[in-house]
Amino acid sequence: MIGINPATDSIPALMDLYYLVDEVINQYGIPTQSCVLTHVTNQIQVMEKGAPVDLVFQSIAGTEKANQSFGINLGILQEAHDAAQALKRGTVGNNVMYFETGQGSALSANANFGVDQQTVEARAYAVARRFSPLLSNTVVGFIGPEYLYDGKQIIRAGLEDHFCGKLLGLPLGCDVCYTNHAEADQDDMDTLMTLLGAAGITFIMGIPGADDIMLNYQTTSFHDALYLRKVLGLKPAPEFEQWLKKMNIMDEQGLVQPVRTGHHMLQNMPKNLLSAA
Amino acid sequence: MNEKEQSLKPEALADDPWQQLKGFTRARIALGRVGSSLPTREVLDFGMSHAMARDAVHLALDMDQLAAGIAELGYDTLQVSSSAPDRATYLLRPDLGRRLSEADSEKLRAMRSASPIDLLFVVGDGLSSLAVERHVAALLAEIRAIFPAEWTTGPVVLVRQARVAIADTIGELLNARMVAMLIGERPGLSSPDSLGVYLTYDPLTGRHDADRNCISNVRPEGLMYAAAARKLLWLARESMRLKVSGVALKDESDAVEIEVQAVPRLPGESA
Repeated sequence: MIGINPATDSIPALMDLYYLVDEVINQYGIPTQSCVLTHVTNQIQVMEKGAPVDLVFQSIAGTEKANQSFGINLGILQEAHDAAQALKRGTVGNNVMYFETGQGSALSANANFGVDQQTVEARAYAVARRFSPLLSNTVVGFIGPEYLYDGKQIIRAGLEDHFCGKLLGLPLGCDVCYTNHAEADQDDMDTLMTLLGAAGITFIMGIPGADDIMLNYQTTSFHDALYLRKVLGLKPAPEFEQWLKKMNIMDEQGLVQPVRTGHHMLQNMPKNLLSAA
Repeated sequence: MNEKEQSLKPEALADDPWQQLKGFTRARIALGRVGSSLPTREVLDFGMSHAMARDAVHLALDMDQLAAGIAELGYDTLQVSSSAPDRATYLLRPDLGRRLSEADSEKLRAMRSASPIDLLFVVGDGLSSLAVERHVAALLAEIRAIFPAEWTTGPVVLVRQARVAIADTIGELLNARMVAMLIGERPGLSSPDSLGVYLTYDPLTGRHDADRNCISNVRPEGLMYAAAARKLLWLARESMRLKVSGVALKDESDAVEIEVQAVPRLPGESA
């Protein structure tokens, strides 16, 4: 999946992003889905205007009150889910939702009713499961030190979330991450990523250089994904592996190929991408 | 890469042939690789940036200097504090950062104006004092230049150890129709000085995030001051007209203008 965190929620700007990423996917024939991470009500609006929406994003939490603080309820999620399915863009499935969660979100909205962070987080997975998401993502260290104080607590929470995701049968991945006001650093992320890889995590994030310059936190990089595959003997999803080989990005042994200046992906850039720049 | 660097370049280091794309973004792209991993120079650069971002969180804001800069624009200012006594407590107890100190609550209650203030400005240090120090006065100057003269604004309230929601309490106490909170965002690795602006209609203690509109990443390398001021004006006008803010108020102002100083050409793009 290719996700964009937009710097603005303006509807015309969002529309441009949907068309842009759709053209990139089609031009290169990438076996993937696009998602623009704006509020679900904005996504309902852009779908009404005909935007090519593959996956609907929303942050969700484990209590009705916390979800209300996100400006959502189950009815709105259902409406968005139905609108996305009506677009009939799926080729091998009809899973049209992408959710994000994270321990502490209910507590920070004063909506946890005295329940501990981990239990409320597991309840959020039950909300996710109701809408058969393609992917769900625990953004584990994004919340900050008041909820997960240091690298050790972030690592523990990441493993707890992974365990609960498996128990509930949710395709749960992890945004292995931390903020600059937490007592953590990139070494902690290397540790958590490796632990989760060994534990069979569904997916991790790829952000250039692990630095999210829009949301101002650090996560895992494309380099990290390659490290994890190598050290644990893991492979990309089969259709994606096939595509990587076809595009001369990966060789038959699964190693990354050096990209030469004349690489065809660099020669034929999508038109919308050029005009956006 | 100069000749000396070239001669020192280890054989295993592979650069990416899309270096020119770096001109479009501050994202860490085209870092190159050694095997499948990062080159050492990038690992070291990342560590240095992290150390600088950590410093931005802990640097205290010079309130008097800020107040002087804002006063020069013709605004009255007022300094208050949240209930968080110091930075360490502030980081661990966001609830205290959202709550005005007892003494200042009393002070503001006594100042409440009989006729409502149209748009109250609150400035909070938040998680980056650097952002506030560098951008608040410049943004307020742009705002002052284009906002309707008939809108009353009251004093600009400066808050120590502040979280976003404290602005709603201040707006409620001072009888404001709308409040705009200018606050330092959590520093990023490549952006220790991002300023955020949050607009609330009918501010009340206990309002949720979903009740506010946000303009993010205000700084010369992100959203320019004038563009941010125009966006805020659009939101404030719509908010006043519809008597609402937050998710019910959709931002349909023009697409964000991102000012790029030098625009390099993309490969494959015709001249």
